[in-house]
Parts: sequence; structure tokens; C-alpha cells
Amino acid sequence: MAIADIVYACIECGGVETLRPAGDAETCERCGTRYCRVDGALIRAERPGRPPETRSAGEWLDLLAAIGADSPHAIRPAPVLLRIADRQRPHRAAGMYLGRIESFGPELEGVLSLAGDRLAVQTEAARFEWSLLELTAVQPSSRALQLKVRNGPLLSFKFPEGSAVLWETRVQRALQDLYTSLGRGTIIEFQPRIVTR
Amino acid sequence: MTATVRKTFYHTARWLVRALWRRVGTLEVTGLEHVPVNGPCIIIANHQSYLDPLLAQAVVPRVVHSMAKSTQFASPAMARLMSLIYTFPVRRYEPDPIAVRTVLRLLGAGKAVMIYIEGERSWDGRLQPPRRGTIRLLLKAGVPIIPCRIDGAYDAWPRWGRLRRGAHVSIAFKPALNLPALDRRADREAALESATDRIMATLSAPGDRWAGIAV
Repeated sequence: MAIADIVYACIECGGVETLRPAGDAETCERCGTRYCRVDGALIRAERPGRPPETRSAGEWLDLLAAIGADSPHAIRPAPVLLRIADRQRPHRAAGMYLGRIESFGPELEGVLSLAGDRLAVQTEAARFEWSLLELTAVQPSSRALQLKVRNGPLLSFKFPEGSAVLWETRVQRALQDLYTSLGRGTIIEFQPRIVTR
Repeated sequence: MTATVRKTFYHTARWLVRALWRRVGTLEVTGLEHVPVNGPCIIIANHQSYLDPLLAQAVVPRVVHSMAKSTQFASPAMARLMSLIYTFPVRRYEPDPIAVRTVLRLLGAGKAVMIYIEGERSWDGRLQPPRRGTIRLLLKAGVPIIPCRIDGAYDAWPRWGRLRRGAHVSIAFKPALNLPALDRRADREAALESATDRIMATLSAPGDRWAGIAV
């Protein structure tokens, strides 16, 4: 749980995914701007020599989008924790079959990159790569971003130094750009499956 | 496990949640009279926080079966607990006909079902677009739809933060929406947009996209 999920770029220096935990707050590692939670769920930015700036999470997200902090040009490879759910088991309650539940494998440390039409994770032992066109759904889940691969597993990505919100936006935007370039239309839903109009 | 033991566990958990919450914050509940005492109904709510299912189910005096993401059932212990509190899984990353069938089967047996219509907790507290599949399900079910607007849970425990004491949470159950039961897929598709507006308007707070739409 982190303010960095919402404030994925520093309002002072423009650094993307530069907030790091510092006590009960988070601080931009580039310029030192401090972000803390106040009054319920408001987020306050404290910058040396300037008045503090307090906004709701929605206002921060709107502001960062408006200044282009989620621009695809800012995408750099990011540390990631990858889990792959490639097995399932049936779930029953009170004698009733209620569907199948995913079983996730071990957490793999790696580096996630998103370039062109490909998403890749490089771990110490292996490289995993998927074409964006293989993805059938994009969904956030708690602090993770989950992607479903066509006829393949459910992938779960956690970003120890980044923002799941930002990466969800990035993947959705990359998918939309790719679909547009291929003449596949506008994506109107990313889950339970990608639907275009 | 017998049905009686499960039911006793559920109501004990409800009592426990209410008792624990009194140590954390305050709770205001209105419109409980709109929730039918018996018979099938679907309670639809906005979703701001982990607190929503805990508090909303704690204040409704009947057993409410609720839908939760399948990945929450990943560990066997959690799957067991979820079953004890009448929660069933839905796979959110692909169409899930089993979850739909489960809802219809529960409603057919006269049960109450709770669904968070946005499909996930809001990152910023604002009302998100609904899952279109859920609207289709509501249009197929033909049972009273009880809107439930939850406020304050986000301030207490936002998705990106920890639980904080001193929060005031309000839960407002609204008068039932009686949508027609549409058996034909084409009819459901035709009614999708207007039903979406009606349903989301009942869940909206000032400033939300659907606020002000006539119900």
C-alpha cells in the first residue's frame, strides 16, 4: 500500500515512479518532495520553500494525467514481481460447484519492459515474453496488475518501486494504440475481456 | 458442515464486525427497510474499500451471499473462510458463466445476493463504470435490485493506504429498482444503456458521472 500508487510522478521535479517510503510518508528520491496522507484519504505534498498542496486521490490522478506524467515516452523497464497462475482447482461450498480457482506459482523477481507490441519480463533464470495481441483482459487486483493470455495463464505483476495504476494505464494505452494501428477499433472494455467498438 | 453451523458462524461474524468497528469508527445506516426480509433480491453497491463487504453484510440482518474475485480464494484457508461467509468466486478476467449460474440459482432459492457493480475497489474513491456483464445479469434476474451507497469507507481505508481510526462510514440502502426480467439477449442489449444509467444514478454521489440522472 503506497501513496506512490496514486502519485506516480513527482509534482515538483516530474520524476516518474520516484517516490520511496520514508517513515510514515513517501519522499521523491530526486528532489526530496515529501508526500503524506492527511485528513482521511487526502494526500499532501510538502515542498521546501513552498506552501503545501493537498488534494484528493482523484485530483492527483487528474492532475498527473493532465500534465502528461503517464506519457508513453516515460516508460522505462521497471522492477517487477511476477506470478503465473497456470493451474486451477475446483471450488465447492455446501455441496455446490462454484467454479475453478487459480493457483499461482512462486513469485519471480525480474524487470518488466513494454516496448512496441511486446511485454517482457527478464528474471535471473529466464525471459518471458508476450505479444500484446495475445492479451485478452487487463485488470487491476489489489496492488497488482493482472493480464490474461489467450489460451494461456493469468499473469500477476506487482511493482515494488512503481505504481500498478500507472502500469495499468500504460498497458491499456499500448493495447489501444496497437488496435488502432491494426484497424481493430476502439477498446471499450478491458475486462472480463477486451471488447472493441 | 451443516447449514446451521454455517449460518451461526455468519451471524457471529456479523456481530463481531459490528463490535470491532465500534472501536475503530462510527457507522450510520439508513434505508434498511428497503432490504426484503425474505425472498430473492440483489443488493448492488459501490466499492471503495475492504470495509465495504464487512460492514454492509454486518448490518443486513439476513444472510447475504456475495460475489468476490476468484483470486481471493487462492489459498485453501481463505477459500474455506469465504465459503463460511457465503461468498462465491467470480473470474473477472474472462466471462464467467458459472458465477452467473450461481447467482441465478441462489435467487431461484429465494436468497439475497450482493454484487459490487464496479467489479473492483476504486483507486480514488470515485464511482467507476459498471461491469456491463453485471447489468446484463440484473436485467436477466428479474428480482428487486436494492442500491446500496457506501460513503466514508475510502477515507478510513483507501486502496493505497492503511486502515485509520476515527472514520465515519455511512451505508444507505435505497428503494428497490424493479427492472424487467428480459429472457432474450437482444432485449437485454437494447435495455443495457438505460438500465446502466438508472442503476448508476442511484449509486452516485454529487460530482459522479451519473449524478442527477432521473431514476
